Amino acid sequence: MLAYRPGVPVAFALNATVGSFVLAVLLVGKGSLLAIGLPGPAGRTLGGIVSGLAISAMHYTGMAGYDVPGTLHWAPGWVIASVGAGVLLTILSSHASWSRQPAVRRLAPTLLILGVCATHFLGMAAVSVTPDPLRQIRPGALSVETLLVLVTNAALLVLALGLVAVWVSVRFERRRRAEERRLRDFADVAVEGLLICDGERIVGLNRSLEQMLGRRRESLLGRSLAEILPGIPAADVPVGRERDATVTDAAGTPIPVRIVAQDIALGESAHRVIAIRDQRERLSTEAEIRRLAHIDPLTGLPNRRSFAESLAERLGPAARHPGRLALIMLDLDRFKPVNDTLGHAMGDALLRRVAGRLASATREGDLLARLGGDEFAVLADVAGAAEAEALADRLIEVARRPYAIDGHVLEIGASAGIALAPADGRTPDALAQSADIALYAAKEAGRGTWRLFETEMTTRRQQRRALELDLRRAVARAEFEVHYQPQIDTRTGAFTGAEALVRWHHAERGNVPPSVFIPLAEELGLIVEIGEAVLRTACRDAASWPEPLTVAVNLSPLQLRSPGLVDQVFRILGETGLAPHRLELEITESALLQDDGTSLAALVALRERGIRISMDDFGTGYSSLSYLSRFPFDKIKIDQSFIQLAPEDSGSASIVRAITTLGARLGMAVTAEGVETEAQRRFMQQEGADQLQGYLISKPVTAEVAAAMFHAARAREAS
Amino acid sequence: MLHRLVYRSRSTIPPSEAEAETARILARASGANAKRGITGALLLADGQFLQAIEGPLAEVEALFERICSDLRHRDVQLLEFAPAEDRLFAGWAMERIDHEDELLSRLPLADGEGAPAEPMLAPLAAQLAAGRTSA
Repeated sequence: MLAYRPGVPVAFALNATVGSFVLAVLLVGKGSLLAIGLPGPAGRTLGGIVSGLAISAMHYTGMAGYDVPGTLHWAPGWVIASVGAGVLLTILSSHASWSRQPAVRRLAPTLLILGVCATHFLGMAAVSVTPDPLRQIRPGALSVETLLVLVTNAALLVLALGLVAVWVSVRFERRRRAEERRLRDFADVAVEGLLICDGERIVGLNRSLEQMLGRRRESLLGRSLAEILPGIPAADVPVGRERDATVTDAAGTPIPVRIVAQDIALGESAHRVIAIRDQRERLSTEAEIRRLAHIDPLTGLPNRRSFAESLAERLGPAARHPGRLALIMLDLDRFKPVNDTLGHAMGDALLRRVAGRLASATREGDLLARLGGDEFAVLADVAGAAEAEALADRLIEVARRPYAIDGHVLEIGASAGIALAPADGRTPDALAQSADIALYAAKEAGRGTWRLFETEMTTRRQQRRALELDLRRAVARAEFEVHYQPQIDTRTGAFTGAEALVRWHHAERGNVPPSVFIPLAEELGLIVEIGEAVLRTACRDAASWPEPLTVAVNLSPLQLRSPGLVDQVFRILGETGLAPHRLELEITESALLQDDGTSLAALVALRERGIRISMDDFGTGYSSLSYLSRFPFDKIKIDQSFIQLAPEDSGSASIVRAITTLGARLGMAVTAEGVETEAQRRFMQQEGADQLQGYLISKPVTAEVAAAMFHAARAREAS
Repeated sequence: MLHRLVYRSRSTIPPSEAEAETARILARASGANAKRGITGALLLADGQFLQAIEGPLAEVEALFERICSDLRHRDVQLLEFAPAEDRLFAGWAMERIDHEDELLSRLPLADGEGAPAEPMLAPLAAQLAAGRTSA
């Protein structure tokens, strides 16, 4: 306005000029507030309109104070153009200042200035002045010169204030940036992925998330959250507690994660920070732990736990199809000696080979597991027992083939027990127990074979258990008695002594035959205790017999191998006062069969101190003559099975003859056991047997009866 | 160290397919055996396999383990397994011996169950070799 020179002196009315300024400030402020208060394009447009009108208001109020010595003429077209252009440009400026693009935002002030200029210049173009000498400039109006100075000062002041504002803004911006950087550095340090969302739009993320997703920050900013977290709107991410989710990485691969949200205020609006925790490592660690908990590390086969789970799983459906599920329990035979003699490394290598072979003998779908030690198990769907038996056959067959390991040849075997569900057990425990019982039966049958579970096996097993319990009790309570079967000299008929025989009378079972409980006692190791008790009793009883009658006591293989035997025997002789030459110890061939030298050494030590050693049950078993040459036995006892068939059975008679001849040649006495008839007695006498023992002479009798018999005989001889 | 292993087994392959199956096994084994330094000879007669394997200890053991995991064999008996001075079948990546009948009748193993294993060993291998060279 100041630049407009109408060719006449110009002045400005004070009120209108100041009013125009106040109006401008107020209305532009109002427009801006409108635009801020009403988010969205509508508010911006409205704000622009108000601000544009404010500029016009300012201009035309100012023009009201325009004082010239003449008449002002207004051209309506220009006035409308002036107001319209101002409003339009201000609206554009308003929109530009909210733009997302910084370049567009920077245009906003320029547009506003253009609006102001357009209003002014077009407004001035609308004015023409017709000089009127009658009109005077009203007194008190500001001259153009004065106003120029004022406006210049005001402009400078505004400029200075603007500069201060810019300076503050720059400082503020710098601090904000530093803050932002610090925040981002902080976020980048975080191990978990962090995401800032404005609504559904991603406005920030940290480096961990970049790495997790394999995407650059720039490629995600401004994108929708659904792109990486499909199906979960930002609003559905829980605050305070985690939930499972899946994010999609650059390659489209789903990544299992746990997510949790936190609302924060960033700038003027609320944002949502989503923490994304990668679960892959945890899940794979868990899977590995689960795997390790379910495999046997030595063989890589499923372990006992895994097997138990599979069994439980498969027993459900199997119960509905009779005979469809077979459980085969498999134990290796003779594995322990390999471990003991060749070491655990060899034992482990062997177990790995066994596992491989068993695996090759199973079919698709069969489950092979190692339950521990040398125990394996197979779970198989079968049509019937025959199929399970064929499988067991194959398993045993491959397991017993020779093993060539590190230059060694190892020979082991396998025994198996088969149980079929649901007939032999409906629950895992019941089925496993049945298979175990069948396995036990297979072992009892001599190993290297399989047995299918039968109900009687349980009964037999229970009976055995009961007997076992009773036997242990009997040992603890010393319930055993010793009876004696007298022996006579074949030529004179005089008593030479007696064999001590153990008797077990059980309150409910009655007399339990030694053939029943002795093998069990051997298996349980109880024979050592029983043997010692019998030896002590026999020595004590024999000590009361007339000299030089002897007592013969059986030594079990286990006793013979026990290291303290020699000391024990002499301690008992000392306790009971029996002279060593009156004690005879009987051993069987089997006792020497597994001898590593200690048994033989014990026998030598016993014999050197006057105790006699005899070979019992000769003629059965291996009857290897090498034993007779390795140890100088005092006596050979012919097994009663030959005596009882002789003399009618020519084969038995020949064997008896051969043994007596052998004894005579080797300088060993020969005793015939089980002599029951006069014919047998005559035959033995004729064949040169030195001693006779059997029902013909006397059945086994109690200690009192034996002692009485011996003393009576001695009295008869003396009289 | 060079080892030699000789075993005998019963074949579970039906007799009608035995020839073709054995030929197939050998064809497949030859290349692999050459790579592993394994040489040897295989004889099939009367439903019985007699095979000599020689090579480095680990390879011999590995091959024998595969044989023992193979259900086409039954009643596998190890007849010889010992270090060897030299190869008796050098240059043969498991050859098939053709003169089964004539050769087998000369072997101490041919008389079925209970044949003594001890007399086998190297002389057998030599016999096998002789059988081959005269072919």
